[in-house]
Amino acid sequence: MLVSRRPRPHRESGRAARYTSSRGIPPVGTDTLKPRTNSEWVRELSAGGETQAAALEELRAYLLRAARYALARAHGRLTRASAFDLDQLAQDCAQNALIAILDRLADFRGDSRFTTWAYSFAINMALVAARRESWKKVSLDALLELRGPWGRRIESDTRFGDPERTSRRAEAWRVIQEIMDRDLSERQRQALKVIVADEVPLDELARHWGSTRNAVYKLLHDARRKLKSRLEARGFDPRELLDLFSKPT
Amino acid sequence: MNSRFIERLLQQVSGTEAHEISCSECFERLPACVELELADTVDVGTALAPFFQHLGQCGVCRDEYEMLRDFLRSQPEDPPLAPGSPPVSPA
Repeated sequence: MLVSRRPRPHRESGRAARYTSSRGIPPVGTDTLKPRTNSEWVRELSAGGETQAAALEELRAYLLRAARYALARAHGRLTRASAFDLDQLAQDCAQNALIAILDRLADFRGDSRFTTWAYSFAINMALVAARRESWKKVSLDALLELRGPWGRRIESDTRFGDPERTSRRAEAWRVIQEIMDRDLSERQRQALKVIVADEVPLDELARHWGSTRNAVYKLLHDARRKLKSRLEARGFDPRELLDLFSKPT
Repeated sequence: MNSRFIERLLQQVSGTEAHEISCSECFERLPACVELELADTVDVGTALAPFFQHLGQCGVCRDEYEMLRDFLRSQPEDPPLAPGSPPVSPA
């Protein structure tokens, strides 16, 4: 899933179909790729015939390299990663990235190398897929449940160390909870809980809710703005509160 | 669940700006911003403040930024910017 749009077949179905039919061809090695200027990439990918086919095959080799790199790194880093076929997934991500790139070729502004722009699609696809693999066995419905002990656990965690600091922490947390309960919507509280506390990736929550990454980000932004302004209105500086909680007791 | 949650929440709240770029805008700026950082010719923290502010708030965009940056760093054999390509400028 791309940030703003899902990959979809190119409007000129012949282009994607021609490329798809070449998937059985062994991939081009990246050490043999022909250097191209940005405008050559755009022109050749838009051309027909053998010129376009060669550009597509070489671009796919670049994308596959980026997707393999991202998946290998993500697989090693994500603690919940299941065993999955990295190479097949990389092939799928490269293919989806290629389709998305063809779909958005007209959006390329030329303010970076074409290959860097193209890599960003492959890496986006690969990391979205890796996060999906990593979180697919976790019940987000259970994590989204706001009732239960999560608030009380935080409160109890403020009770240690320097008594004065403990008291200030407890007061700050009480005010934060009050603002969250009174001024944030349930959806905003849920999003803060699962993304900040449970570290659920934003795109996974968006997928679970049938929403978009932009929409969930905006929901969180609105919640943060509200929290910040309400804290300030009550005489709390969020940076001072951060010091209060981040420095050791 | 512990006070680390409150710390993360306050980090995000204290770093909140009235206007923030969206994930889509971040994605559009990503390639040029990564190239600028790797070129090391400008203070990207200042030149690209809205972009980096977004990365400070959005873990998935930050992951994609870091992965693209690290991938490009790992590819010394990548062909140099071909003649005729425009210079990179801040997004």
